[in-house]
Amino acid sequence: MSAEQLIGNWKLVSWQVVTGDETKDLFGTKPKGYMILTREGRAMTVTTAEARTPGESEPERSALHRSMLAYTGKYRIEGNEFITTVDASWNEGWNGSEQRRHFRLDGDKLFVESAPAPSIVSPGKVDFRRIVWEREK
Amino acid sequence: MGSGSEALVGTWRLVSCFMEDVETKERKPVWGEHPNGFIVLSAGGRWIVIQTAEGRKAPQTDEDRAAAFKSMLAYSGKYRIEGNKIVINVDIAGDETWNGTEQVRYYRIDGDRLHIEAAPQPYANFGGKVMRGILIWMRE
Repeated sequence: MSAEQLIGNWKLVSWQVVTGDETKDLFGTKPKGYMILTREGRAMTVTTAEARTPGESEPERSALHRSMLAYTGKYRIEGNEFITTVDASWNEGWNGSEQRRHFRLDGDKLFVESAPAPSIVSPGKVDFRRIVWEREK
Repeated sequence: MGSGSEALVGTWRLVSCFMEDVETKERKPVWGEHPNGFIVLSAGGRWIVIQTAEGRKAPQTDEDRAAAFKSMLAYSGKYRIEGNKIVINVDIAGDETWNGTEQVRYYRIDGDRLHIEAAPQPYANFGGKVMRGILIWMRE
């Protein structure tokens, strides 16, 4: 798989957490998201949950922060994985981390999965994220 | 798209950001002396920007998360060039109130620097004050 095929603009189709047999739409059934992968090797994405409520109180701002993802970094391809070294992020804890994602292209769709890891959503279990993108027209 | 769009395509890294209070003309580096941020303008006509203030912490509590949200900007949309303006039709944003808005940015390219001035608008993160962003970006 070459990096060439990943370059371009991608629109989010679904964002799911998979725990065993259970699949959950963590950001709702109609989340929004865009991702750009540039020829020069930068990945950048913004994803937001369905039905977010604007607000300026502390709980509202906290909820807005919880219901989104936004990060960028240089990416590299290793086989069927793309790895982004994060250098700016909505969550400062992601800065400096390597986000490793398995990917598979099928026509206009890009299927992305994170490595299985101890679940934050379901403590004691292992889960992974399954994210589907389609090439933006 | 005008001929200027080609020069804009690519990745730009934030160098400095000042916010000007439109009423008092006072300029402040409200994101700190060393803010972090990137804009990608794709050949396919999409803009994504992520910008964060200096000195943020990884959030643990709701209070931290609210502070983290207040000290960032992230949005995307299709863009078009009109003379010295970049007009972005926002279709996703950290701040939901930006969805569906047109963000107008005046730009000038000087070597590897991109100078951007935002049209004045109220910012929820600055108490609803009408502010104008003045930013310098460097080609990555």
